[in-house]
Amino acid sequence: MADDLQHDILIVGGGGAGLRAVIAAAEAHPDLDIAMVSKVYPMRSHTVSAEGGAAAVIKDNDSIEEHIHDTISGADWLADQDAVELFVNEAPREMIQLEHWGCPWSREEDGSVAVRPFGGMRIRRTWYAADKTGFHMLHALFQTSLKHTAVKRYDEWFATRLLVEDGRCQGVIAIEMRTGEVHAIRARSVIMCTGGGGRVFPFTTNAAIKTGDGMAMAYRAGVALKDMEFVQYHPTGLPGTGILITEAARGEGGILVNTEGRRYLEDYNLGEPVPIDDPRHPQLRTMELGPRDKLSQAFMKEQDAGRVFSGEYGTYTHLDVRHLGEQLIMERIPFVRELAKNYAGIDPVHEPIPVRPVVHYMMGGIHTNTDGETSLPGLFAAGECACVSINGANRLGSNSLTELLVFGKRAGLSAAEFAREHPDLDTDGLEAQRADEEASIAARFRTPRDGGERLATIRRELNATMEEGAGVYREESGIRATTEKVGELKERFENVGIDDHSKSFNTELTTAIELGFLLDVGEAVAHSALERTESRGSHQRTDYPDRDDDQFLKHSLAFRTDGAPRIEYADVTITNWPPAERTYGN
Amino acid sequence: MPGPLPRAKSNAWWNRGWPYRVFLLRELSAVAVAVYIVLLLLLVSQVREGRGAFNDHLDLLENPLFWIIHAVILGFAQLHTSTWFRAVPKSMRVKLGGRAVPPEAMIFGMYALWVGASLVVLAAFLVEW
Amino acid sequence: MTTETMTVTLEVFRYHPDTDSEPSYQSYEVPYREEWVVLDALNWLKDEVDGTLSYRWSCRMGVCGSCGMMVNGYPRLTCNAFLREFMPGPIRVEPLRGFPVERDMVTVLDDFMEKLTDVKPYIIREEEQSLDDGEYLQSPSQLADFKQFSMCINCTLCYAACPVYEHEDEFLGPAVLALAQRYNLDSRDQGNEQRQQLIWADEGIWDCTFVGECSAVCPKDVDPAAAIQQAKVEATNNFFISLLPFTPPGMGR
Repeated sequence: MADDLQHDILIVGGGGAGLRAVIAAAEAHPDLDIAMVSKVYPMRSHTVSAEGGAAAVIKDNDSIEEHIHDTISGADWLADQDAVELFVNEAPREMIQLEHWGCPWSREEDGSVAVRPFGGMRIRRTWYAADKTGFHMLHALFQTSLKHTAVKRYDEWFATRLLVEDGRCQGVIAIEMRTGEVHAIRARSVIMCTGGGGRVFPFTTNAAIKTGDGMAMAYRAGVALKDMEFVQYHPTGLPGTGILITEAARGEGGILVNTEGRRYLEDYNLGEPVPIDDPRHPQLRTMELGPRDKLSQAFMKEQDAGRVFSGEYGTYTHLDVRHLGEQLIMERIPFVRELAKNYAGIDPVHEPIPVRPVVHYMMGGIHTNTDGETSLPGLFAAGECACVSINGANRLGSNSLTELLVFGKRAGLSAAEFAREHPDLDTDGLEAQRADEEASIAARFRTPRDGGERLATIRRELNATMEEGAGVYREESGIRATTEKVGELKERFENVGIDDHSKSFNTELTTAIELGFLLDVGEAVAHSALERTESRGSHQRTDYPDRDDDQFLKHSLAFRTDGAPRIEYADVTITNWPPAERTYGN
Repeated sequence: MPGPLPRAKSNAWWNRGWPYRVFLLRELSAVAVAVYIVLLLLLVSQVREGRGAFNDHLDLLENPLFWIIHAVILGFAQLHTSTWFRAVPKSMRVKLGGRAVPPEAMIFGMYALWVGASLVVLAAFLVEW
Repeated sequence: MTTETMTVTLEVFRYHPDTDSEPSYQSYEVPYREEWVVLDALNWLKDEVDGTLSYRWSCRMGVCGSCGMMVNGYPRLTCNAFLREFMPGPIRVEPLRGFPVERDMVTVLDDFMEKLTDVKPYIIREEEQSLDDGEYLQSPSQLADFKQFSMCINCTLCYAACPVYEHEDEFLGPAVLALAQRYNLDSRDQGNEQRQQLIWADEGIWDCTFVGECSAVCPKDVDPAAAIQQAKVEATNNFFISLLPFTPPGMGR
């Protein structure tokens, strides 16, 4: 539909990063016209599912230096150290800001914010709101954003493509779900805050909406996807559903045990176990509080050794929190109990929780600098869809929620500056692009065609091949097979057939477009993994088991081409923390 | 194009399940209590008319119809009381020493008071003056 | 019959705004699996049988609030409504009651979103403390005063259970009033007066007749009925205090 939707700044995605960007821009530039497009109502965004907490230095026993070191070593030295320094320094202020905006943080008796231990952190510094931290953060941000009544929200508008004209991003094309109309929303600057793409894998904590939309849109517009081979497996998901059991369960003292009743992590260079009734338990950066990549890898090795349980939904080990007692469980991790009862049919007060590694987070994403800028003028990105990178080869638990705030705000401010300096838009050219997209959607999805494959078939095959070739452990022939399979699926996707050719709230149409996004994300993940012939953080190659700083202390950059993506490399910024061996344990 | 389906309004909502029916009965219980007050006022007015009229009125109340009416009113009064007790913890939060008193404790306390008061009234009848 | 071959009938509400003048019901046979929720059955249908079926869902773990529907006449999150609860079926799946229907199980949320915005659900202060001075102190007991009312996921099941919302277009409804109360009770907030005009009006708390089903259907135990009754008590107290020729100590607002 040709109409006049034009704004100064357009934020795509209504999760934590997007909302923080909106508020930052609206507060600093009340005269700018700000709009947000989101394919779901903002409070449905996946930030809502984050459980354990958000890291920031606030207590006297902690230091900025320690948080920086934990983050960099957790990242297996692939994080940009200038970015990490900036992140850690700005984090406390952002978290206090969110407290001022009403986030119901759990408290100490004296009224100050409480912190809990988290994996890979040498000091307890994770702020939490029981075990629904993401939920409370998202709702606090969304509700605070409502203060800014001038902000225009396009709720349930589905962005399909970036508007790029004259070498500059000038808005997006989006489907208004209610009517099915295809609109161009023009903007002087655009911020992508669309989250990750965990749904490219079959077994994930990620919500259905996490289909890598923003990553794929930027990739298609020629922007590089950085470090896509780094996919984080969270060590504790429920078998079958993949529902997340927060790291806070271990932060509060939960232990992982195998079929022999052994706390098997002690066999994997994660330190010596301290008995659960010892007041020193749980020990920071040790055993169950090791980093996620190492814990997930330990599980796979236990599986190879046959020391895992086997159930209808695959193998698992036990996460035991019984010794915490009902009162502490209800106070600190009530959601864990609710989820385990509902979806695993067990009460963690009385029984151990079955858990296995599950795809959780993408360290990689749209290549940005610390201001959220991408290589495409006018396009910014923040949150999981972006890669600054502070997470390197493995993100530390509780850094991502804070990242949404720090870099959401920075992207909001820099996009506002850009909008001020670049007022003119090429409205005719943009309308032509919109008409083109509308015609292409109509031809592909609104015209009945015979013999097309079902979406679900292609999605399942994509999921399967990603897990086979690009799972926790990878090796050349497996990854190569995955790259080939993804290529084949991309071709077959061109002939997909859908049942629904109508306009109003056509979720099959949006699911189809999402599958197209997933295929691009999967392609970038697989090819980046194939090229990185070393093991680092979450990227473990059985054929190249060692870290290779000489060749690969570098970010990978995947560029889309008509064939296989082109992989380039960029240097990692090292400031004060020269690469060293990653060590954990007491 | 018909567009979205307008929201449906149904007057049958009260019959969608027991919670809704109980709600309606709870509201009706106010009528029952009002009827009882009328009966009580009539009784009081007979006292003013003298002993004979009062005794005649008591004879009238012996009629099974009045037994039934009183039983129904008593039932409604019970319902009114128990739903009221259930409502109290929702309407007010009581804190003792910085800790919220759990709803169950508040409800139990009110039932205890109720039973206690009933025993006192019962005793007043049973004890020979 | 083994679990493998068992099926259950889903009677699904269908309405398409482009073509239908009135809704209808369509029956589908879906495989029965012990651990499947109603949402799994719908997803199976959409994947394998009928891609035109429309509904919202996302997190499938009961926290995003998208997938509320009427299941056998009762408002439920379908990601948390197990098929086994309704066996042997049939299971009737409809959009949440009380809302206009966009398509199939997709309701129109405009009215809810507008009312949510109207009650100013954010911290209001005369002056925000400088970030340099750190967080506002809030004791665990002060946190407990409003915590329960902050757990709302905006799933709107309570609206589907509320006969008042069904009949009174202006009524703010349970979740929105609970959210207003959540901020009014927050020790960091000073916006009570700004919210009063709307909350204490007829279409606010006084339209509520305290049926109480909002709290019964709430999947997060928010207890909006309690929030509303507490606000009523507060409004009543405030009225009587305003009649006094003086302000009693500690009662001034």
